[in-house]
Amino acid sequence: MMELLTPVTGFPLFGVLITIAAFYAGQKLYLKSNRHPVLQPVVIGMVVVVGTVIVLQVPYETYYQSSYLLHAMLGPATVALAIPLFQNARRIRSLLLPILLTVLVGGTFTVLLAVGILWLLGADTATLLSMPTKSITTPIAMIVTEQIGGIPALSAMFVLLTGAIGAMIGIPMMNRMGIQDDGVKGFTMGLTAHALGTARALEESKECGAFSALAMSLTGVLTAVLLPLIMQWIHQGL
Amino acid sequence: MLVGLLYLILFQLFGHMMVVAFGLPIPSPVLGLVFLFIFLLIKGHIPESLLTVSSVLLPLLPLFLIPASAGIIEHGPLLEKDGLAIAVALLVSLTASILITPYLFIFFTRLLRKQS
Repeated sequence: MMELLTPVTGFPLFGVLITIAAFYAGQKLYLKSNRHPVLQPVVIGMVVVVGTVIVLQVPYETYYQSSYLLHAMLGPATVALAIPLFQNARRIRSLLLPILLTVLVGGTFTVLLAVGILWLLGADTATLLSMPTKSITTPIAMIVTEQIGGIPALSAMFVLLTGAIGAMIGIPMMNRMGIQDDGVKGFTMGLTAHALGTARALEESKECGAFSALAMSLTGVLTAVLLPLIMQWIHQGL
Repeated sequence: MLVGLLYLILFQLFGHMMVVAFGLPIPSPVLGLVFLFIFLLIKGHIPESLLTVSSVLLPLLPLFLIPASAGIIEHGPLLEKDGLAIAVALLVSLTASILITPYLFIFFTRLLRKQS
């Protein structure tokens, strides 16, 4: 049986084929579920790919090499994130300074807290190094995690979990806290739950969505620039 | 579309050259993003070709993430060992930051408004 599949799994575009098919299936299922945050196309796509690779007994390395074409597009697509950042920054220019300060202080707080808890509970160094990017958008998170020596796949999982849970509990929590301003709500969603939080914020109002998108972009870019610098500085200090 | 794609790849290359030239620890696509953002600030508007290419590429970003995300397959033992610590760290830090971020933002907005 497995011999019959050798021409399929040995096909140079095998990885590209199953990844696009899995992602397409994920998109269909996501729309059918009324955009449930846990059923993100990337999550379903990943689960389907992992399942297929296990069933067909293909080593991960073989799959990765035959899907590299898609992985390589991550670079230019990440550069393209400058476009929504520019569009949002222009829209809310007057609040740029308080926004920057909150992103810096709030972002540092959540990272230190998460890494501190992991450290106290005796988690592996690899787990610790994959955690600091948990609240930024997945592409930047994976690229930065690779840079600082964590496990990109693990960081993607942390990001998706944070985004999905944040998108579910964020708005109800802030309503309970008596936060009424849509700008403040959106800003918190973007800072804590990146793209998934922003999708949820857009359901509240346009203003909520715009603040969320801006907070998400700034948190992502600042983390991506500062985190590797801080890590290098720590390494040199040790 | 093609010109837009060239822009993106050239900005990534520019980022890569800076990384190599100055031994920076920052990933080259991130530097490319920052340079493109500065370029747009100077230019004042977004060229049509960039708008087109980003409207094609950005919705596909999750697709480009799958090959590396599937690498989780190789880290089963680590997940088993650290699973509980991860769950606690993610939930506590997320809840705490939803609790403090709104107040931080309101605080900084008022502080800076008073000064100006």
